[in-house]
Amino acid sequence: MKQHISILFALLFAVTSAFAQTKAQADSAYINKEYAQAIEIYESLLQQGESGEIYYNLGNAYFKQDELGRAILNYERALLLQPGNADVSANLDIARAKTVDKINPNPEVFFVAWTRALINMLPVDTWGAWGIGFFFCTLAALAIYFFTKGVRWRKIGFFAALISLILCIVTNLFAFEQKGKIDHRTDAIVLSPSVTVRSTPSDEGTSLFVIHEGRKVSIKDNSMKEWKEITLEDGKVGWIPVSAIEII
Amino acid sequence: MIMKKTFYIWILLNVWMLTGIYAADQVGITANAPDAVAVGDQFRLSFTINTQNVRDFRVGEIKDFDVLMGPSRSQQSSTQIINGKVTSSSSITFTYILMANKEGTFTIPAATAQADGKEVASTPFQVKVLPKDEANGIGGVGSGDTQTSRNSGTLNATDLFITSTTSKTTVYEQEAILLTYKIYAAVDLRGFDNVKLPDFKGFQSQEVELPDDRRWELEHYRGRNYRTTIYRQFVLFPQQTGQLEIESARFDASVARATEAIDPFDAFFNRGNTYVEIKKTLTTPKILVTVNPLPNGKPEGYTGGVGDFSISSSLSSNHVKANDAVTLKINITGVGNLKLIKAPEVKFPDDFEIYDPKVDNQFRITSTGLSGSQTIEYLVIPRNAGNYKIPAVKFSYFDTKSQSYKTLTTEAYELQVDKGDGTSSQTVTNYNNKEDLRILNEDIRFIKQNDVKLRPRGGYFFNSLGYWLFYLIPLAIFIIIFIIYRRQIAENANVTKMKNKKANKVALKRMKEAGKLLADGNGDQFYDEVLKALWGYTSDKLNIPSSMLSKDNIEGQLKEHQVSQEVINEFIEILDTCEFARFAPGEEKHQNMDKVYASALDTIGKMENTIKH
Repeated sequence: MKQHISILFALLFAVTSAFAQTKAQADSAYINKEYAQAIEIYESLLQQGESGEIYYNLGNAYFKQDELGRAILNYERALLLQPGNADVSANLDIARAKTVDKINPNPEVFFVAWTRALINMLPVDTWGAWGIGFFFCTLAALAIYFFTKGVRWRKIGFFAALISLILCIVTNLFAFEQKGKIDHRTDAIVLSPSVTVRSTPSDEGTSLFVIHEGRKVSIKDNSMKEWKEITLEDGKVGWIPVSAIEII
Repeated sequence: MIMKKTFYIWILLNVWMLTGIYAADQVGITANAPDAVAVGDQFRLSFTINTQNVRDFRVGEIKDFDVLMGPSRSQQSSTQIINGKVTSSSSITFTYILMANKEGTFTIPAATAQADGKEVASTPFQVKVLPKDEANGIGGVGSGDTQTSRNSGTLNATDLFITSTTSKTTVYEQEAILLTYKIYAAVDLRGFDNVKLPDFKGFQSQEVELPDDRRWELEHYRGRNYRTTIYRQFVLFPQQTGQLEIESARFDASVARATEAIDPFDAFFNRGNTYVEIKKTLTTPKILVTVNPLPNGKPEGYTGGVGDFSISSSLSSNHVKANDAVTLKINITGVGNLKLIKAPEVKFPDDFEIYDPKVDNQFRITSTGLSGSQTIEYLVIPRNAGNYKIPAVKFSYFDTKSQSYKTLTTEAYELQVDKGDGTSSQTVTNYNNKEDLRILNEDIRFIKQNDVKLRPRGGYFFNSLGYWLFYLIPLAIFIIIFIIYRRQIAENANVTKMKNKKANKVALKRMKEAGKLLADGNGDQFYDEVLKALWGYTSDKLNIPSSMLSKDNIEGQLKEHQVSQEVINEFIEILDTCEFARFAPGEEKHQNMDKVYASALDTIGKMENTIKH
């Protein structure tokens, strides 16, 4: 039995160390400017699972290879897993600045923008942890409310419980929002150098407009296999072949 | 014969000029003779000594030529008075008339003499003797006019032509080629007009300045002797690769042709010869030049130089004060396309203020390209103190000799910059001594090298069973505790909070009752009710059982709850009034009832405002 356990541990160790080595290998390949090799290793790592850092590094490697579309795609993925990461946003901004299309986002009402910014400050699990933390606060405050005799303490306990409960609910809502974004990925990045958006899901459709590599679109109708209906941030709608884009 | 005469006069003039020039110089012997003559030609050999005090003039044996005459001695002297300054010069010339009788290259030996008491000697020199003209065999150029087609009005193609030759026909891009136009004349050429030179498409051209005093020389070419001279020379730098064509040039030559005078009268005045001017258009053949591209593998810092160069650099000072200018001089010397070289890039520290480099070209055009030096001055001003490094400058060029790229490196400099004086910093607009951060370049941020844990896609903790257990388990524990201690909780809630909250209500209820009794005029019961209301209110409000309250301790208790002394006094006064009135006789009871009721309500209101939990 003991032997079995030790073998198991050895295996586990081997697996983790091998994995660590490959990430380190990819990093050193990147440092040695062998970007193609770095990309290959990062991509193979991402077959096993995902991680914001690896998406970020992969985005960097693609950027150095001048593949702007893929760089932006991976930065967006990294940002999805690690919203609010300054390095990712900085590089994403640089990559976006190099794309062809000028982006004119529709102006949002300030509190919507603020709320979105607030939600995007933390990833889903961090919001979840905050929710649990606030729930414990609620229980503690309730205990104070129930088990103290002093009117002042009872008042403090009561309001603290109320506030923590509200915060607990809000953070959970935020976490659900973030989870929804990861579960239902509706945004996609254009990978073709340029693609014509058509009015109907076929090549015969009227050409509406042309978008270029690196442009972010959101998928409105995901029902067809070969064609997707997309909307741009300024509200334009059209159909695009699925081969030209990749969902974040 | 005219030709010959002019030739002699020209030589004489030359001699005079030479004597004039050398008059002030040291005493010496100058020998003079044409460089080339044809067999059978007579020519003049002269030795000029620039003094008249000559003794013992001797010339070595002239065995290769027939001496027809000489030496004949002639003296010249001249005196000049310029602004009262008298300069005089004099010379003696010994002249031989020689005739060449065999072809080859022969040496005229040195002449020696005692001039002004010193032994002087001329340098021996060579005279080339060319074969006789084969084509017509009659007369040479040197003997003046030609008899070729004497009686016809046209010129043969061989009588006068211009050659265009290039030094190379296969070159590398930017490698210099020398293009020479040379005139070959067997006739009396008077001049050119309507000269059309090609526009050298694909080349950068630079004309070579020829000396003003170039002479006609005799040259034997394809069996004939021609008077030749270089007409024009160009240095060409090919700017394109492939087959480049130098187009033909066109010259309209005018030639003087002597004709036999038919009119005897005319012949008398013109000594038997008349001249007619003949025009002839000459064109040179096209020249094809193969230009090879420079080989691949241009090194870093290649500035477009092709040729043979060397580089040196100097720094004006390596220890300066901030805001003092420093000059880095780079000197490129050599032969090649110097004019087209870009100034090599110097990587000065980013903190320096760098001005555009000043380029000073000093070169001559030679047959191999531009030769000379290019001096590039970089003026920089260090704005802040510190120790800086000016790295070595790399200068790469294509070496045409070894046909490979060569990289030259200057030395690197260390520059020590001290803090500047106040005076020199005034030249800088100095508001706050702070500068904006200068963005040199933008690049993405670096990768993250920490070890990471890979998570399965969509595998997050939130909304999982474990996540909700974090809510359920504490909640369950809390509920159990709540059930266990529910009695105490209820007690806590009732005793304190409920009583407190209801105190005012109860008191007001009692007071309402008292109000009814007041209306009925029931004095005893009214006071009783007011007292109960007051005591009950305080008991509930202060959370003290009524049994433990008395007139003795109520003042202290109220004070503890920050009730003002005024209200306390009022409160006690009401208590006193009520107790007193209960036992007072009938009339008096009724008189105070309205007043007590009003002040009791007032006091309860005041205390309700003051005592807050």
